[in-house]
Amino acid sequence: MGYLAVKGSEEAIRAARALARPTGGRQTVEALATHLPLVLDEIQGEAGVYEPHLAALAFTQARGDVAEAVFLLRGYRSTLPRRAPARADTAELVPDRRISSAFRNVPGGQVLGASNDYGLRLLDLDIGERPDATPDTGIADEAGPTAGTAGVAATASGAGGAGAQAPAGGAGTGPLSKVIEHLRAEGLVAQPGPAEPPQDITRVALRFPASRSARLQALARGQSGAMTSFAYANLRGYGPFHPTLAELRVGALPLTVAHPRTGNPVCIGELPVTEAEAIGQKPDRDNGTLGMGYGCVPGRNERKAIAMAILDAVLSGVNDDAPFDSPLADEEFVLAHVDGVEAAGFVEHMKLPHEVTFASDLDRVRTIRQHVRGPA
Amino acid sequence: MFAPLDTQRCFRGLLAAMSGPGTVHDVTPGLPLVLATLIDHEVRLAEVGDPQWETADFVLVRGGDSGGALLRARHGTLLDPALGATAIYEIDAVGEGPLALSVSGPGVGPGPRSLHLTGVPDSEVALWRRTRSGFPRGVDVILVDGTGRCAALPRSTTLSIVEG
Repeated sequence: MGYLAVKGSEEAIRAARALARPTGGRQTVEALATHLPLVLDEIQGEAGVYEPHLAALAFTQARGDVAEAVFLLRGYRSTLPRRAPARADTAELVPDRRISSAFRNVPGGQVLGASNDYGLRLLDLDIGERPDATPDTGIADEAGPTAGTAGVAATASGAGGAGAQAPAGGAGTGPLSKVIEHLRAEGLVAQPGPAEPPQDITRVALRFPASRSARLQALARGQSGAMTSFAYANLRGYGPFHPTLAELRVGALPLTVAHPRTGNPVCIGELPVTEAEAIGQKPDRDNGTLGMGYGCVPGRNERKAIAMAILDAVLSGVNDDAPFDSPLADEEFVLAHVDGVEAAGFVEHMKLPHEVTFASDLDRVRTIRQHVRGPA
Repeated sequence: MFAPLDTQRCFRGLLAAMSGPGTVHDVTPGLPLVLATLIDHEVRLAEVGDPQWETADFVLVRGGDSGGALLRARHGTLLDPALGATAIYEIDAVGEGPLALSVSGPGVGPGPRSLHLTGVPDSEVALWRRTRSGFPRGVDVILVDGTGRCAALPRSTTLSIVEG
């Protein structure tokens, strides 16, 4: 008899899944990869795997639900073998966008690349009437004229250049020196501490207190919206850090692995990343140096990289590690809750049957009522 | 060498064996394929007598008798029971033989299941039981024979010897 109910549910579940079946196919996947790269970057960053085609498949299968797409892609990622650790040094990053809000004139210049930061946010009602355009990578069509009016150095004029190639208009063709290094050379920002062996939170579960590498990895995989909210809460006064963006860069980061025979470093490819370095004073402490928060996320996701830098700064007590008195300085509060897959899973599991626990709650409440009111 | 599809098929077999303790599955040709499936550069494998035995993720017992070494394999901690080692035994036969185990617990069903083995002394069964007395700490057991049959006794499984 019990199985009758199960059979009924099975049919209903099958019907529910059929109603939610994805309708997208090859054209959708291609259109996503060509025209909506930013959402794919967001998915790849949160999933912790960089492969735009797989992200496009996941997003199509999820019918446009980013959290669901991240879940699918993370699940797939967990089946992949990890061949070897790669080394990356963002000093070698070739930026196709690089700006500093700390200095007007930085060596190498302000390189706007692709950006809507200086344009108006007006809905283009005609966009649906035009045929798809072929994206020419990295060209920000308004960069030239708006750069001037926005008070940004004119080295950025003439658009960003193509992809990871050399930006036009005065910027160099290779890596640019980092703003933070100039501040370090002056002693205004402390030198980074010795590097600890990195910890991979996909192999060893995140525990608190977390090492800095675990913290940075948790933030890099964090949900973009949650990261933005926490960073915003800091800026509004629930946290202590008043950041200035020393540098924000977007570009191709070379990855090297040690050659299995010779041990020599071999470049195996490039990963597009967004890197943010936020600097600021530690309030109530004036030792004559600035603290720094670091953000680096796969793909192009400036909002998240900046949020990451702010949260890193707060969590490291702007680098002397004496914690601030702020909910945002509680690393479990921040790191456990920026994970989009865990958050979505726990919130949405409330949809699953909880009849037994609820019946128990109800029993208790009824018993209490009887005690308070006496038997009816 | 094995192809990815071989190791994937073996993984499914091991998964089915782990989720249905005492059931017998095919992982032909046996131990080499099981090792190719589970072992890579990120995990440590030790055989009886290796100095790394106590820290290994997987321990290998050729024959059914670890000689007591199983007790020194990693058991995990209460906070991280997943750090308990997995012991892989190559024994004479899985699914037939003089030793009859009664298997119960998660994945078995309302009544116990019986599993017959060849080449495992009673003393080793006693070790299996001892290593899981501190559940969720403990050691998971995978049994494989020369013809490619495998079964598993995860630490959540309760064991007893059926007297013949």
